[in-house]
Amino acid sequence: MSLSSAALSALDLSAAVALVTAWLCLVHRRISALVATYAIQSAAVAITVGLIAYLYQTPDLYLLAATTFGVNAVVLPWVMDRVILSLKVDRMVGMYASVRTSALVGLGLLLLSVFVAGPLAPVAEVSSGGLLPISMATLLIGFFLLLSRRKAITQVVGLLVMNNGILLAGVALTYGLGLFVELALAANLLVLAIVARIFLTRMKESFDHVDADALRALEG
Amino acid sequence: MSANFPWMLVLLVTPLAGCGLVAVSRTRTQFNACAAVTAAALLALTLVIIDQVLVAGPTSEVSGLLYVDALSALLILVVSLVGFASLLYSIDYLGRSGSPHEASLPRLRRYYLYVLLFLFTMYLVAEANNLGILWVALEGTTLASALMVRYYQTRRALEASWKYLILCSAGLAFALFGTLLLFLASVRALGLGGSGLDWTTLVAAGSQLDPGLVRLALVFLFIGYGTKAGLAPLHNWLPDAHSEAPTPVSALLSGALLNCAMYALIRVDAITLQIPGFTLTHWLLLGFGLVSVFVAAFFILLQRDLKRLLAYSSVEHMGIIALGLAFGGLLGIFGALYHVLNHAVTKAALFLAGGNLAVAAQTKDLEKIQGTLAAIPVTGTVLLLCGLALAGVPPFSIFASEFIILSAGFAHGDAVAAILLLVALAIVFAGLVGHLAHILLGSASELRFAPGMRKAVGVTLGIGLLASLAVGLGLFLPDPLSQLLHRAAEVVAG
Repeated sequence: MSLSSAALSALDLSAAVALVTAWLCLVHRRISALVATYAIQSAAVAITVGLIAYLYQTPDLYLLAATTFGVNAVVLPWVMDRVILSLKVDRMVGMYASVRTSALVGLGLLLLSVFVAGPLAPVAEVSSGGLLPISMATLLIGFFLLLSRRKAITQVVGLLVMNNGILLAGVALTYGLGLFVELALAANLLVLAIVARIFLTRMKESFDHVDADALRALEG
Repeated sequence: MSANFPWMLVLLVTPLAGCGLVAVSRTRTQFNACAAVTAAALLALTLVIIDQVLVAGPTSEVSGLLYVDALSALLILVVSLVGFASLLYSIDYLGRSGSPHEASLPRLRRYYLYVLLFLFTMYLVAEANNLGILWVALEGTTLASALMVRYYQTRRALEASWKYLILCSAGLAFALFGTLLLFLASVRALGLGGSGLDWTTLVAAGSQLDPGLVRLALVFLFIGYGTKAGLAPLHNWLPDAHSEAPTPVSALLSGALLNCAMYALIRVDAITLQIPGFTLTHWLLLGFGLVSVFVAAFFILLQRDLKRLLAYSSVEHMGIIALGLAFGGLLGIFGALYHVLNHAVTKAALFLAGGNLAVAAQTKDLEKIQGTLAAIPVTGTVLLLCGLALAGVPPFSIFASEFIILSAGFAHGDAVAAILLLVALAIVFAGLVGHLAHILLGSASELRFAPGMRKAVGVTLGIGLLASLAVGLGLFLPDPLSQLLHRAAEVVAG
């Protein structure tokens, strides 16, 4: 088995791990477990990006892979863990949808992605044809996580999972050409800026109670 | 003045220079002076750029990354008009000592910095020649404006700003996914030229783009930018953000920001109009447009909060603009763009005048406000005229553009949608006139301005400019403006 065919198999594997971990984000009841799963997912995405950089010899992507690993898989989970520790009361994920419903919706979103993006996969530039549906499923699962969870911190995780989906889509569709690398880095930095704003300001205090019941004051 | 001078760069640098000035200023007077000077400079530069576009046609700078044509110039005009009025209003509203919402010096500095950064990101939206840069600029507008929505630091303001940040960031993630798919379509049609996301390239390549890919891209782009433009049912963040932000910021959000997101959709529309037999854009615009006008009409009828009323009306008008684009043809697109301008000035004038009213009444509760016309006649008159304009009463500006949009609907075979739009407009009319009659008429003893608000030059100038445009643009469309609108419509129609 040559080195590049090994890399191709590894690519399939890491993309599959990214998908499964995205789905697993939907089944956790404790925030710390959710954050840990997100960290693994980010690592899988970073490895996928790195393998594509190797397979298609695009050095720019190594940079993207490294920052994804550093920021998404290490720094952000670490920051979030600290915030969870500083929350005095409830460390559970507040949910609108039960675990069972969430898991089923996640599977539905995966099927939808395969159904919609699957036929387009052959046109994607990277030979691992599954990447486009996987990235779309990750994006949609992240969005569902954001909508169906009560607490600000879990909503941030949803946004971050969506961001991982974007990264996968970007490398799958363009393998790092054009403006994409800059865009993806910018997107990452912007999300980081958002998270930093939240953690460094008063939002932190209202973290454990910014939930639907509080937001109801603003409806209608 | 030279037709080749890079005025668009000057326009981008000016708000940043204003930020620099604010950063080195020390006193209240200096802060306010910075804001006033920057506002005036931006408005003047805008007129120069419009003149340049009308004389010399589209221009580009920074090796094609920035590009200004008539459509960009129209958005620049809208941002500058609303920005000018809002900055002047800010000076009297929270800038001067003794103003009703007087800010402490550090907060005032931060406020002006954020407003100017916000303006910068919106100008960048208008001048980006590239779907990628456009996306970055729009994400920037979210960050800059979310910081201002939480200005009052109340619980409600924090929640509104959080909701805004999360929903619009999620929306924009969808938009980026759509942008990537469009990039793929462009690369497949044109090869890796490196300029695969430029307007000019994409519009020219239109007929070669793979319709299947573009369809999927379009769905994501519409969800993404539609969220940001406040199209129902993706509008959830909008009433909260608009009502909790400081009044001048509400005017900016409604009059300028929503149009920036709509501008992104208009550019996408322009690309897909070049694909033969491609109808998905039409249906998406039609669907989002109709849902928006009806959802908004319903909430307008039931609304009790002054600023939320105006916010829902923005949802309605974004829907009308989408419908104008859906009806299409040169007529429909012209109507939609004309409506962008009319809605921006009318709504911003109303938000600012509504801010006056809220200061005088010390409440935003529509049930508790009465007799505005008798108690504060000037603000009352502005509310009356612009309120009627907003309801679509002739001969004001919004009536003119709504009439054009409806004509386009009947002319281009969308009669059912046009009739539905008429029904929604009738409901909105009833709702708005009911609310107006309640707050304007009757006797009022409790309405009183604080002394600081009485001789407010900035307030008068800002509201005066916007209100006279809101009333006047329906009666008389100056020739350069009409030319600009026609050329912008041609840019979209191709």
